[in-house]
Amino acid sequence: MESSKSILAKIFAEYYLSGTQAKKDKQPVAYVTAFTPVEILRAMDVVCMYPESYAVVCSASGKAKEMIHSSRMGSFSQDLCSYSLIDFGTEHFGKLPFGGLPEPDMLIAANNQCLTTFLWFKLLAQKKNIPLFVIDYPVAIEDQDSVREYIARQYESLIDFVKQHTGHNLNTQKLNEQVTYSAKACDLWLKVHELNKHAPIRIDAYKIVDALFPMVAAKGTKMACDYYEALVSEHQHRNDVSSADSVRLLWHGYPMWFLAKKFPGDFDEKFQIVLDDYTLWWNLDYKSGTNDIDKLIPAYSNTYLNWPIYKKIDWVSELVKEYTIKGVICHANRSCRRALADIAPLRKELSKSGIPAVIIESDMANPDFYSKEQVNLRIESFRDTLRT
Amino acid sequence: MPTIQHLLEKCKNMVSKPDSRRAYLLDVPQKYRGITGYFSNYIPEEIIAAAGLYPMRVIGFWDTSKSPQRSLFNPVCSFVRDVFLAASCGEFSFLRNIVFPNSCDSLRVLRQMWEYEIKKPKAYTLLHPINTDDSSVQYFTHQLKAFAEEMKKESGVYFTDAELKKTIDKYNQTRDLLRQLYDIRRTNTFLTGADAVALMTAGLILERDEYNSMLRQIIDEARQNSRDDKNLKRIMIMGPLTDNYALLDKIERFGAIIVDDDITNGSRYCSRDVEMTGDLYENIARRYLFADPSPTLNSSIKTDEQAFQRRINGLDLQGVIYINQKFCEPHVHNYLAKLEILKQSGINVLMLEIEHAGLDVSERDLLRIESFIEIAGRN
Repeated sequence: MESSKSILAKIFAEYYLSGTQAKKDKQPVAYVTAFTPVEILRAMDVVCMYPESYAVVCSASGKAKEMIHSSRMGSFSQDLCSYSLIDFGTEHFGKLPFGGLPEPDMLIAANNQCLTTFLWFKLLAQKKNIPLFVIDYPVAIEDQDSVREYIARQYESLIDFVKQHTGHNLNTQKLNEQVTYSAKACDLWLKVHELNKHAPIRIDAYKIVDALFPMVAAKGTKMACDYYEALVSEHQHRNDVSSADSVRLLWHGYPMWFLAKKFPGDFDEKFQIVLDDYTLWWNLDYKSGTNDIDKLIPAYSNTYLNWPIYKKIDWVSELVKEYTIKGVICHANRSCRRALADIAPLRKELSKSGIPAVIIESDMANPDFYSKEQVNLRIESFRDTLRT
Repeated sequence: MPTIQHLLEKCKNMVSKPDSRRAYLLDVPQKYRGITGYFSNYIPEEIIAAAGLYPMRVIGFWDTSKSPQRSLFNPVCSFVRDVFLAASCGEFSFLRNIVFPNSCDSLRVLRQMWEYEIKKPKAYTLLHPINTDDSSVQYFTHQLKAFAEEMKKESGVYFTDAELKKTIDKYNQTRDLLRQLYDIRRTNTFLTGADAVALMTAGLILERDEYNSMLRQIIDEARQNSRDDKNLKRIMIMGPLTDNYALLDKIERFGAIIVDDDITNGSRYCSRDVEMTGDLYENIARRYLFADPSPTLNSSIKTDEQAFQRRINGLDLQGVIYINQKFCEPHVHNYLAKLEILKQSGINVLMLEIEHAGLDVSERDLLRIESFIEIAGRN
């Protein structure tokens, strides 16, 4: 079996090359937000590029600070989402990692994670004078038929929109392939996390964070599935990552992309982050629905950030039980307003069930909001709490 | 008949003084089945009122002196943080229920915290769409009908379409009167901009018949006592909910007159009427989706740009002051989008970021406003 490292390198190269190649071949390129149903777009031969994922690359390569400065947003750079600021910075920044993303022909935004992505893409559409399509997911679907119908009609409009701007039709066979691989990748992605369900820890949590890229950029591909299969196979028998009696911690929320190991604090064998629930936000449910388009309705409506508060609390509490977690570190990420809603309530609810939690205020991509000393101090005092 | 000064004083108190507002609301006529608080321009007051409930827009400036010091994380906008603090102090306990929009992320945070922590009064969310195409109208119509059923159950007033029509008529009258007021203010400086905004904002609280009659009296007097002070710099204000009377008053004291606005509690509130024939719920949906849009709506970029351009062309403006609440993300984006158009039209723009609850304007901001108005229109 090919190694996961080798497959990941291929996925990375293929993704970034596909953008450049698309421009050469005059194939349409769309910028999409993280939870856009790209299965539809790819089944219409549209090359999808993720500015958010690119912002992660820029942050991880240490360029975030300069790029945010280049965004020329002045005092707003303190207030807006750092992914969007990095993206606005690309326009005026010299040497971009991987040469930057190709110019888009269209923009597709969804509000199932936040309103920011819509506002950001709307501004981009205006600046670049290119068409924008917004998929509105008003709420996580429970039994609301009207919401389901509304989203179904929007998918029809999306297909018309893409056809109008590219001349391409929807290839239903390709769509089926995409949805099937997306669903399979989600199952495998869950297995990757479950490597750490019980002691001993089989894979470092930051390595799971690093493994997220194919879930985003290679969604609906066989290669993504191959990658996760290889990852599971390589780690399932490992037992050298931590000692069996380490204190198991859960990281709640976004990682800090600018840190080499994605999480702050000097964790040793005795205290280990076994899971970041953020990476499980990509574990969408493709199983409900009568046909491929129908399956994409609940999958993309029921995203974590679209859930009501008690569902979020219940879900994290369940993970705490399943993964025998002893303490939770909550990242209050100033870039993501919607993710902030559950931080204080979650801490309160966990505390009721005897699980201590600490809140760290920082940012997912902008190191300006990260104070190493303060964060370490807080984590250290949290470890003292756990020791007692 | 009360004097204009008396009426304007009442409006200013309603907007800026929590005690006056509370006293007025506690005295709401008994004919109502309770007070329904609501946020945003996308909650149709017509439906709330038809159900015999008294619609009250949640604006700023509540008494938070009993604050339990609980707050929301910082990037949540200052308006939402203020409302959360006020709610934690029990400032909304007199409401029968409260209606949230499906709007910006800060309000979504508040909605979730309401469910988790505030709990009372009972909260509803009206899941309006952010798109404005035909399927959005259809979807919104359905949501409005469901919302009407909820309000009927809440109040026990099972209103008919004919009764809804009567209420719509009242609100159409308000919108029409407010538009007349805008027309007057373009050429007539009888009312200061600060007073006009206080008058419009108070309308979000005052009883509808009383408010419409107040507007008629003020419009009549403004027409009879037309003034045109050409020494004042013609300014437009833009932004989200702008209910800080003290700030607007200070802007005008530097020698300016606010002749128009693009604010939530201003022109965006009163643009476009609800059609009275056909399916009333669909008409309401159309009115709310096609009125002058909030930045949280995915309206047509080109149409909006053209409409905005036409509007500023006709105003002979000497400057625009964009008053944003700290951390209000939709309006930062709107500012960035409109800035280019204003620059191309040769109009200077001043961006002020204020804390919503900050009745006092900082010395630094006052200096910026003063110098902006001084140079406004020179180029």
